[in-house]
Amino acid sequence: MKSRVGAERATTLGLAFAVAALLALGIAWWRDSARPYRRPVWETGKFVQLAPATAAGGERWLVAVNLRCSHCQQHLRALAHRISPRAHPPALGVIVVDQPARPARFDLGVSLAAGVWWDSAQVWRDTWGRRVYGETFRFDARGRLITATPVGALPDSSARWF
Amino acid sequence: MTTSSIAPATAADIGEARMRVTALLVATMWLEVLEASARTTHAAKPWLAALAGLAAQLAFTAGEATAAGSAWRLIGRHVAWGVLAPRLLVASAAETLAVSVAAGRTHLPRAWALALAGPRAGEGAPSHGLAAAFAAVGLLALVRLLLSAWLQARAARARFRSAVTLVLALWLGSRLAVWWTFDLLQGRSFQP
Repeated sequence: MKSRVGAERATTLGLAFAVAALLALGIAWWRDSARPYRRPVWETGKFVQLAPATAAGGERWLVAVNLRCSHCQQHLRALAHRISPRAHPPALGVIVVDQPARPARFDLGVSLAAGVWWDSAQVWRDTWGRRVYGETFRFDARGRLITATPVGALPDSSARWF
Repeated sequence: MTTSSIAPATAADIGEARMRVTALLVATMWLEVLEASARTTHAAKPWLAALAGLAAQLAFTAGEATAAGSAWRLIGRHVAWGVLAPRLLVASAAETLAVSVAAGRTHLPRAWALALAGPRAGEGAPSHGLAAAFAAVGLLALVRLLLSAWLQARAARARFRSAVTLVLALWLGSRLAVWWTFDLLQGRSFQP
């Protein structure tokens, strides 16, 4: 009898814990999704330059790269490979995201005409509300966003390569 | 004349034994389906992936049986974990077919594949939490839920309607957890 009462108490506690955990998750999700985010705009003053931009004017394609993320770096190299044969390729660059300290050294393995920028102020996550590593932001010459495309997508085409 | 000390098996005992044997057969179905799915994705060690998948499926069933047992207890019915777990595994048989359809092993027309296995049978991974949570919603998922409710209602000697409500509530809770977790973790790469 005692063990049955104990089991019922444990069951009620377990269920209460599960419901509380689900509720806490829901509140965290609701708070996160209720935050207003701004449409991405390319403003160099908000980022720290790690490697200079060599291209002036024209379109910039900036890839959000986390230095511990191998698949988004793979995407960056694939993107560079895909646009290199073009007569007038867009300037490819990198925004280093979710990186608390300024990276001492980095080797992304491609030449980046739009430079490498460290998002020290978490603009990408906190102001733009972005989450997906490897996302490519296509900005026009005035820094206005044209498109934002996921890993594996060519920003100015519907083609996907992986 | 001698008397046996072994009690004769009752119809309930035989029914329970049959349920456990069926659950064992469903476990082997899972192993086969997961191994074949691992092959279609060109996994390095399909059998290892299948064993890991089966272990995950059994762990999920164990958790599902615990949650269902707690929920039944809350509404005044006592159903043992050992009675629920094999029934939940048997109900998951419909899901093995859905996994095969989603992996493209059944050569069905696209519309049929989507209707049976849900959006996961289409191309591309889900891009947000809502899509991820309900990617498996199709006719076979419905069959699984109804079969699970029917088996649980019989085990708990409860009405089918009560069992459907309970199964749907638990299923919806798990979907909400997947939806919210996916959205909150999206983009955080766990790859080295």
